[in-house]
Amino acid sequence: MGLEAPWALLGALLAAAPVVAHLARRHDLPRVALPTIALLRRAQVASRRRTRLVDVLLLVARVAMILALALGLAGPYREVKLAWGDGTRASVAIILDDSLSMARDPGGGATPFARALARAREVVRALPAGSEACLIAGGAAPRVIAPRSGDPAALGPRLDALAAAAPTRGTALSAAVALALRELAGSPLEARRILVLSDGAAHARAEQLEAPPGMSLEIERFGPAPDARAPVNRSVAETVVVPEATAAGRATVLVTLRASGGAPTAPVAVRLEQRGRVVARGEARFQGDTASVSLEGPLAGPQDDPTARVVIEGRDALAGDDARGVLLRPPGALRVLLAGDDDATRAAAQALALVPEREGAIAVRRVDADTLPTVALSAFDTVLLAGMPAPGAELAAALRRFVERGGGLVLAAGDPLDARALDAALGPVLPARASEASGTALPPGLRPGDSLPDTAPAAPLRDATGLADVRVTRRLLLETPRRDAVAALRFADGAPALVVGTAGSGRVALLAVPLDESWSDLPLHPGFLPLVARLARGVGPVTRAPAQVVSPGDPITLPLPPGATRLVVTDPSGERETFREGRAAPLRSTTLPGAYRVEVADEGGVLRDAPRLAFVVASPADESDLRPGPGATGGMPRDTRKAASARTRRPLAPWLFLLVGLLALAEGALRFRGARPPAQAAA
Amino acid sequence: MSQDAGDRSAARGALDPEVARRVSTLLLAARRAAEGLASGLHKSPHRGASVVFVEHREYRPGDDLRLLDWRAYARTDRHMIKRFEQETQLRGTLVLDRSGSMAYPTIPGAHTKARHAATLLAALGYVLVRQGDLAGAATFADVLAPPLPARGRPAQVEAIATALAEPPAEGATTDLAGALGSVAERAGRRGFVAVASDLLDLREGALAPLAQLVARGHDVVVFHVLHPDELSLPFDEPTRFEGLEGEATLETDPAALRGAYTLEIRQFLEECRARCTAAGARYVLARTDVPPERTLAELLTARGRRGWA
Repeated sequence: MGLEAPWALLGALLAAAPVVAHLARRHDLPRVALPTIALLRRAQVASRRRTRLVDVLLLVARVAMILALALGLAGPYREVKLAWGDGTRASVAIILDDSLSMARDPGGGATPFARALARAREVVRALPAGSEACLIAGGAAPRVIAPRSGDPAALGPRLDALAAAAPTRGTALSAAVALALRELAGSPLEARRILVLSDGAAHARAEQLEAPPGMSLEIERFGPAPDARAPVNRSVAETVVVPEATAAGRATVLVTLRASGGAPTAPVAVRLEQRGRVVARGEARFQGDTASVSLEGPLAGPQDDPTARVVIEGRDALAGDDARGVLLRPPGALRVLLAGDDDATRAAAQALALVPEREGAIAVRRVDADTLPTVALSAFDTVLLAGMPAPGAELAAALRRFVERGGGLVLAAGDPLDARALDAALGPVLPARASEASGTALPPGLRPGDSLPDTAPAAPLRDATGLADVRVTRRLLLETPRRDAVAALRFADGAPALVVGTAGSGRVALLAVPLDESWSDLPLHPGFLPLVARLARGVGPVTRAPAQVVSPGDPITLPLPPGATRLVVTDPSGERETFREGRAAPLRSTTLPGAYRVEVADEGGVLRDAPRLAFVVASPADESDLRPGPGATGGMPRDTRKAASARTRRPLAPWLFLLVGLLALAEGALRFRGARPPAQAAA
Repeated sequence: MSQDAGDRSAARGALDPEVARRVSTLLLAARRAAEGLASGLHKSPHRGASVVFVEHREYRPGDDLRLLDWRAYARTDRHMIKRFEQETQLRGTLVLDRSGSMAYPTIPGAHTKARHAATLLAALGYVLVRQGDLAGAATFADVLAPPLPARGRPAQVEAIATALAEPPAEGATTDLAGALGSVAERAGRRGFVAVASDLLDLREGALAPLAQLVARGHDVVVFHVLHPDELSLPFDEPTRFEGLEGEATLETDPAALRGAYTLEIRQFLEECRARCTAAGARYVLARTDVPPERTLAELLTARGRRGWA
């Protein structure tokens, strides 16, 4: 406590003014003749007790008012120890690490994340008036939780919201600092500071954080000291699902465990759960810091829920990485239906069978032209018609419907194909009008056609090679492609050889030569195989979820399968999110690790599992490594300790002036009450 | 000019011709019929020979046989006496309080309560004389001064004004009971008595003689004359208050007491009204900031509505 201007206390002598004024006025009271003085005396007797109390209160209020005013003018202050900072106005960016490792169990007490949240609240309260503050979450990907504001108290609700979500993400402190620099860039305040609240784990690499000159960067650690022993932690690092070759409908889950802070010597129990039921259990024995175990479970059918999870039994330092989602489904494959002439479909099937596994599997079914009308097209992604006559009205309608709902259709020329009939049957979806086939003597070679952007439907075909020597003896004449179609390949004379366009939600490719050797030697050239594969992929829909594991918080987009009217995503906690429109479902709520179930509704509104769209969200394996990173000290950096010990003066004058105002109001109320009749006052 | 001389001339001037003209258009009607020697405009409770038949009653021995209704006897075979209204002349007594408290406000030249009361009474006297009735005046403080006898000649108006113009006696106390008792003894029977006073005699039974006056058949009107300052106590600063009838001084903060004082004055007014009404007299609050002709007009109009005019 202290006073800025002690001499102002002399003003307190004025507190005697009301008493002196009262005594002085008694000697010089005005005289007034009043006939009803007897009634006045009666009134005085009646209200003497009340007026005496009011008079005393009035005197106290007036004296207190003058004393408070004098004290306020003297500038009293209170010295307080700041929780953070040096008491000067600054623009502050608080980076709160909300990565998975912040949820570690410290062996009693609050988690580092909870302590960091409390510390952030302390820092916000310690900021002097006029300061600015913003809040940035340091988990991957970094995001601005509260933009820079002159009202630091506004960060409170945002911190509450952040506290409600458990930390699951990876760490991205460097990117968070870059984001903080952008937030502070427009601040009018000269002092700009970044405060990082993190557990300081090795994977966070907090020691590499740097701030530009003129800006301070302080890191406060809430994990163990750099020289402390890392806590023991085990995690499910990887899962691989392999369908059993010898047992239909069964799959083996190869689980890899990793340990940090010392590997357990005893076997670790691991179980496989599906829909809350344990379907397999095993034990893993660590060798070094890794262990593996195989668990066998049921393989989901084409319309079954494939979600499951692998759980490590027992407790360790970090519970969030002791379970991992897994999808008990066969590897995803592009489903291609080949129909038409036997020679042509055989060549295409052989080409598709030779597609490398790393490029994604392709499941092929061959049918002849007579069988095609009986096949349910919705079970395929791409339909390739090679060397078959133009479809009849019923089949044509089914094909048009298939394409408009997102399916891919490839039409290859051939002797049985009547161009006019084809145009009559599928004209609305064809990318170009076809004329009668004609023999020709062209210079050899097929060359890439129009310049295609990455987003074009036929983009996969632009790199077609190995077709430069293709000799063509007969071809289907394709007219100029429609406005939304492109010629992906052209003959040597410039005529379109392959035209690709869109129709509804699907794509259609029209190839002017057959896939067999009847009109050209195309199947004999090395470019044939990639051409057929890319055709099948390029026009087919992307109906699989991303193959790789999704990190928490990463938005993903799920493609809607052909014919789907609704897509429902169920997260590991059971929360459902429904998407009704568009060709894809942009999913942003992927913060919860685990397996996400996806269901699709057809036109009839019936929901069926789409195991090919299910996906897994898992925290980065780095987060399971809880070893402390290097640091200046085990607690706070030196500059932070210095700031924390700073003291500042908190003026008390505003409170005193507020008291003066309240006393003035009280004095007025007392005067008013004293002037009212007792009956009214009582009322 | 001294205050006394000023009040006297003011009393003469109290009979403002404009006020008198307005008031003269209203007819004073007594609540009860007054008895008088000469016929006038006022109804008398005495039944006698007149042209206006009132009622029959049974004949009693000693009744004037000339009043027997022989036709009724022929019809009913009973002796009935005919009763008639008799027009009479009203005898009015105007009583003014001249105690010290009536001198408020004490500022020289101010319109005092005494002057306001004198104006009221003088206007009434003018009305009475103008309509052929008799009017007399009396003043009192602690005792009743020798009254001016009631007469009906035109010069009586000036005589009344002169009698009422006497300024209040400085420091004189009020003895309402004694003064009104004396008036009751001297006013005879069945007349009209108007009393103008601030009624600041807080003793029990101060207004008791009003009942005697009413019992004697008088139509009694009490003008309670008060200044607005007495009603609202419009003083804010601490003040030393002094009485006008020798009361002890009082130092107090009127702002703090205003609420309680308002209750006291309200209670005082209610008590005065209740006692006057209980005695059978009419109570009229006469504020000095209300023109006297308006006060009189309200009084006389109310009497007219009740069918007494």
